[in-house]
Amino acid sequence: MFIARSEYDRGINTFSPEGRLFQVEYSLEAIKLGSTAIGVATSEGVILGVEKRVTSTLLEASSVEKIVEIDQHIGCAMSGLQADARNLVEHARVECQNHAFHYAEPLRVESTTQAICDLALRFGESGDDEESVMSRPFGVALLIAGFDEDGPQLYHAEPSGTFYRYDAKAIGSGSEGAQAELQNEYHRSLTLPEAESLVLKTLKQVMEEKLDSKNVQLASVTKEKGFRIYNDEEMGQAVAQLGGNQ
Amino acid sequence: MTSLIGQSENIGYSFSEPTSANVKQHSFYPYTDNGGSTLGITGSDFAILAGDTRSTSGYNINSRMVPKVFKIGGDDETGDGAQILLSVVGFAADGNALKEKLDTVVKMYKYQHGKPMSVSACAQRLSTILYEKRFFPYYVHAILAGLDEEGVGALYSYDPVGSYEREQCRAAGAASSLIMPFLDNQVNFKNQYVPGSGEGHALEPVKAEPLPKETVKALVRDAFTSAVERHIEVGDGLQLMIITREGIEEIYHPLKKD
Amino acid sequence: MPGFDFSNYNRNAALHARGVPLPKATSTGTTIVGCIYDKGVVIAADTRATSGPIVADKNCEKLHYIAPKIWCAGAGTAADTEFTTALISSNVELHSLSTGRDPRVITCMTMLKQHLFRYQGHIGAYLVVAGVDPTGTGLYTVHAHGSTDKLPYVTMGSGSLAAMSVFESTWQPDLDRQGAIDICAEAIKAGIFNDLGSGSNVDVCVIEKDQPTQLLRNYMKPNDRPQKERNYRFQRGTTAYLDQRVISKEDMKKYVTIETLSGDDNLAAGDNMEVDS
Repeated sequence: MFIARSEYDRGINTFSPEGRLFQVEYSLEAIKLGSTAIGVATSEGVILGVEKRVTSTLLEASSVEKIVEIDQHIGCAMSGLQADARNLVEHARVECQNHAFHYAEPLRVESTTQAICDLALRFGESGDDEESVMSRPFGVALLIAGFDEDGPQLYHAEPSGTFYRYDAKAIGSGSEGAQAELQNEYHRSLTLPEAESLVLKTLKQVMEEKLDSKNVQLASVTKEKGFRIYNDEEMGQAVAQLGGNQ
Repeated sequence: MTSLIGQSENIGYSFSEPTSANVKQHSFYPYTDNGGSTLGITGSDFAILAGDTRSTSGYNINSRMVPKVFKIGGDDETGDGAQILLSVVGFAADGNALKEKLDTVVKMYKYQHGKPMSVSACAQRLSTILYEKRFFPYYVHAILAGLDEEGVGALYSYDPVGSYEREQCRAAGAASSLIMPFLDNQVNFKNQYVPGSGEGHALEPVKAEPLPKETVKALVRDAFTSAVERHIEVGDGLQLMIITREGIEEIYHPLKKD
Repeated sequence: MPGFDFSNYNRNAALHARGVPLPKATSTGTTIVGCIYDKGVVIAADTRATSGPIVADKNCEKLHYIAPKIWCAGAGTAADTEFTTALISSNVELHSLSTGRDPRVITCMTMLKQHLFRYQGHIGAYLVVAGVDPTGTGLYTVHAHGSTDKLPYVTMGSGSLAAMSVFESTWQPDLDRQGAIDICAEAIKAGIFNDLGSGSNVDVCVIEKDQPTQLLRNYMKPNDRPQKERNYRFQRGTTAYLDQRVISKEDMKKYVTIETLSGDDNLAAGDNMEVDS
């Protein structure tokens, strides 16, 4: 026989006597191994920033995609198992398109987040006539940034299926230090460029490697331009600006 | 027809001409036309949807009081709190099913997205609902009404499989061919020219402008009392729903019962 | 009687086979009834004529004259009831002239059924024949195929069931004149309000021995049109036109004689015009 605790480790839909779902908790641990991702919401828009771990000089940095578009007005940054994130993003994209098809309007940011979290919970054992479900929880967390009739918004979605709205949020391996930094530096009257440098500055503090324009990626969501991933030139400018500021 | 004397000894009566042996054609036609007419007109800050309350089948009257205009997405059975109106005319059973479905969709939308559905979103959704049944359609002509984001009256009309268009006014149902030309002339001032503005055909058309609410109400009542005179399936009662920023007003009006 | 002209029959059959629909005849959808009473007989009819679901005439006459004391109420194809009754009326008159006696209802009924039977139902006339003659009171129905019935109260047309419900629930023997008029009018009203093929007003005809026949045209008008709420008179010059030519009175005098009468300028106003009376 196994020791008591490990038995509750196995069943992904089984509560432990203390009321815990270990597999879900472990999935949250997986995120803490992931690269750091940061989001900051301002009244002008939302900035997303991620650390790209370029582990080899032979690795093509542009193939590390940790910020992706969901719809014209929504994008997300990820930390954790990237392959899992693809599933969630694909689902979110379909939901957005479906909504636009049926209602001739963009899906709200909160509804998109909710749609992602609905999928996050579809793990466990399937019934006889049920369509197949996933065998384990997702090992990834998302920072979802978007713009709708309620203005710019930032959401954090977890494998547990819960989500919260944040003014500024950090996830991944450096999240503890980064979150403390955001806590200190964030204020409601941040401008978009200020948010941009706050994200880069915070990333720089928690990254092991030296920050340059190749190992970080920024993206923004604004009313005018929707979701945009910074190109190489813009990244270069942003990083140069950071150096100049300090 | 199978003959007792057999196919070979076929006698040449025209009425005993045998068809190909024992072929029975079954048919099932699940639609009926329940008659009636509906009509919608918009103004600068209101929209009106109206319909008669008669339900017919053939030469019979099923009921003198079956409403064709419904509130969509209300908070309870009375429809209070609704901001969208739907009228359906054609096959009443399909009309009811469509109304119930759209009502459910609008209510679910509010729960899921935390905001009331806009008329333009509802208009697109109704189109997809209708097109979903492209090969077994809801046999109805639907008209959707409400106020748009600017508070201006909005009216959308549909064919049975979801093609739709935003318009100033639209008549549907049995007497639509009687009412629509009247609306073209009295709402959009078609075929009306400014007297003395030119010679012969080179006249300046009368410019259409949104009509005041009381004028539109009178036009609607005149359209229906006239349709009743000349269409046998229209009559008994007139149901009027007027949507404004203040909410939805519902008025019933008697029509001739013959 | 020269009879019908069938010269277009083959052409029309060929057209029909290629999908050309038959022309739509005006039908008198109709409720018609008849009821005898102690001294005579009453027939009554609604006044709606339809073409499909459209009301073709709001106040048409469905009570047809056959002879001074024989009248007919017609349902079915309007033209057929009109021509059949006119034809039989002529033949009844000729028959009366050659025999020197008053025409009998049963004679008229027999002529109608023989005429209709000959045309195998293609003449779509459904009739109620009523009258008084030297043998007494007569009331019959004649169907388009030629069958007839003789009854104390009868109904025909699309509103016949509605009308018959009134007779079956309230008729009693030994009705007097007013009682017969009342029950007939009530039966027609049942048709007017419950049958879509019937509508508008009630026409009544009362035929009694030794009394002049009374045609009570629009005996009841339970469906008057309500007043329109708006005025739909257009300002002069509202309509565009392609061409304009002014022909002076002097020019017209070359072709016709013109006499000027005192006129009302408003005569052309559509609002004052009653179309169907």
